Amino acid sequence: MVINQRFVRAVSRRATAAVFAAAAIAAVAPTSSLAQDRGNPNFYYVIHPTLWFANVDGVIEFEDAGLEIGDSELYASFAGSVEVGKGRWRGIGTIRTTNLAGSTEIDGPAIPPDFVGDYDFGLTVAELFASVEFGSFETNQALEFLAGFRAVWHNLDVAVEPGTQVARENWLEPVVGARYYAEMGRSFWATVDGNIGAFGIGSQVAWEIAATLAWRITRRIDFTLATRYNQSEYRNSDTGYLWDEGVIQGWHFGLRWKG
Amino acid sequence: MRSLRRATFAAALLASTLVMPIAGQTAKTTSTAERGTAAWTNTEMLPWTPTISAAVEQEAEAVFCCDERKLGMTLIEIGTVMVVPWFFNRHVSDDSTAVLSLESWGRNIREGFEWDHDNFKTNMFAHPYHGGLYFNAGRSNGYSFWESAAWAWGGSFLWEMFGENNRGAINDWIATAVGGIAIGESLNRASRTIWDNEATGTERAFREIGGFLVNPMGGASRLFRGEMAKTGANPEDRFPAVVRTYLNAGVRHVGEGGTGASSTGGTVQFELGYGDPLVDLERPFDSFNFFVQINGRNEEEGIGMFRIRGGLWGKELSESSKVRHTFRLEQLFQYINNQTIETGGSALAASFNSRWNFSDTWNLGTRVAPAALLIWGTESEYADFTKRDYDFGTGGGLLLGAGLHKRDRPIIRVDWASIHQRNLNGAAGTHWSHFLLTRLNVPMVGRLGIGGEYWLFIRDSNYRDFPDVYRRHPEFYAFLSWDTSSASFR
Repeated sequence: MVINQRFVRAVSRRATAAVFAAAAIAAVAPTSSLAQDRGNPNFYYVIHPTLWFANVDGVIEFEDAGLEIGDSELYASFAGSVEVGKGRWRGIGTIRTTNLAGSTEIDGPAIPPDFVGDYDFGLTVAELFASVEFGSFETNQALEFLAGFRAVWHNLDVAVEPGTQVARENWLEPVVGARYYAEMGRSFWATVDGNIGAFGIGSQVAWEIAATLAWRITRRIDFTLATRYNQSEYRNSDTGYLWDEGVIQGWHFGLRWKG
Repeated sequence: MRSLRRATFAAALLASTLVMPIAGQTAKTTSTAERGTAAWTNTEMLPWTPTISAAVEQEAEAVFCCDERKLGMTLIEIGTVMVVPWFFNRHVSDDSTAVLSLESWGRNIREGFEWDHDNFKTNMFAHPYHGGLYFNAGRSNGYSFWESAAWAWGGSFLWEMFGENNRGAINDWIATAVGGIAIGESLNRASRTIWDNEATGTERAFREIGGFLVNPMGGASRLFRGEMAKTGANPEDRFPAVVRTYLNAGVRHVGEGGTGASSTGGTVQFELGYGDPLVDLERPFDSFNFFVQINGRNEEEGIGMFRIRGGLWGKELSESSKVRHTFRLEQLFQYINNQTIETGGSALAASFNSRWNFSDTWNLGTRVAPAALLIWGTESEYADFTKRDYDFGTGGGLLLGAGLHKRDRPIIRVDWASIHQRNLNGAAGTHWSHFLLTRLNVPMVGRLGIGGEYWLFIRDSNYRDFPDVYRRHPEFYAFLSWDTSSASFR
């Protein structure tokens, strides 16, 4: 197949121009509120895609095999969030997905001692929250309480001679939490948020904390740097699947667009 | 060495309680409408400082911090709080974790957090106290409560990532920041009642030293800004409408069921009730309760209990002549470390408080507060396997309390708390902890009273991989009580 190089260059030029034009429009577009939109009486939305450098650690047991996932290295992947709001109320949706592969010692009654096998582990987390802001809008910080659900998907393939063992596990759990937001001068803002949940519905326990530092590039676009730590413990007595002291943590780099 | 530390702490505690009544007397004058002329009243009350009114008159325009935030000084103070312990670890203790390099920083960023294995006192008391230093570096340089909270989070994060060459500890980050907010703000408020910009001479010196001991970062900020030697007006919100302090000293008997045989030792308790939890709801920590207990020779650890309960936000629900109901979002910090139990952490509670007035003299206070544990630690029997004699976790709880008061002085108090911790790190499983605390305190002569307490700790631990554990620990107290503030507010 022959690719028309002139066509590719033209598309590339137009796409680049479109991105810059959008940024320029965003920069000069009138807006009456800051990034967090505290008490904004009008409907607004936020789109926040990020690069997600994830580090996954945990022990998985399933069927007749057990292995330790992760080697404390970062894996480049993607995450994002969407937020809509009006006044004190917000709806927040997030998704994070990562995939890692490696070799590790695999235990099991039918597996030879010290057997080292390859694994491929995909992990996706999606959340949906409703949040309400407390306190006065006349300050440079905000405190929100949020409640919602988290869905988790595990896809694990482990090469155990002569074949491959496969585990597909997913669950849904309730989550409650809080988010604190602070303006830090005109150019920066920060958030700290955390949540706890599950307590037997879905996983046994789930616990998360995250902090974000944002640089306000324009009134509509922010560059964000965030760190996130999520830990959970999941056991399915029907399938025998165990996710023990499972930690997903890492760094987000993103652009946040508010419309 | 331990005796020396206890003696030092007890001396500091006693010093602060001795300063408090003086602060309370001043509160009586400044908490009324005559705040603007409080200096003249103080001159009458404190005849050994005859120059005070002249000094105030001359320097009435002296400016004290802070109408604006002082970023540079905040960064210097937080940097100092980081560099000093690092220097000590690196060059005095010769601690290998203090050998820093670009490689170690990169590794920490790449590998992220883990849970550490430090002992309970280090993780659940020393780190939160350190977080209070970060917090008060901001607080004493013009930042608000919430802005200073951001400094506590940021300072703790930087230390975990770059202050040591081992991986950052997620438990340290949270315990330092959240606990530091509670400790920092309560000490900040307490120190503000001690410092008196209008005082001079010996009294001023003692007040500056006392405030510095209570709030070192605030004291350092005053020193750097030259405010220690400057006279002028005090901040209008220096005092809440009510401050109550109690000092109890007596004996504590630990019943059988502890890790050792029953024993008896001395104990000292200090309690500060700052503001009215049913009235002062406007700003964070406008009202809080601060309690510390120092145990005697029958305990390995001097500080047996340290507890802070502060209001973050509140709302009056209803009020009549007979009863007042309020809601208060509370931050809780608790540290209990003695031979019978080791538990504590930080939590948020939704507290429904009521005050039922029976007469002009007697009232009953009640409290119902469901709570969420942000980070909590509870002792575990399986340190050989988990490398730590306590488990970290999260969960929820219910706190109930009732107190009968005579002229706002508590006579009978009963508190019950049930806490469920799901372990995140340590031995997989759960801990149910139940606490019963009862107190009878009978006023005797003047400020002196006599009292007794019965405490009961019950722990029901269910482990996934180890045998379950059930423990029941009673404690008995008898003490003399000194209401160090009552004379000022009756």
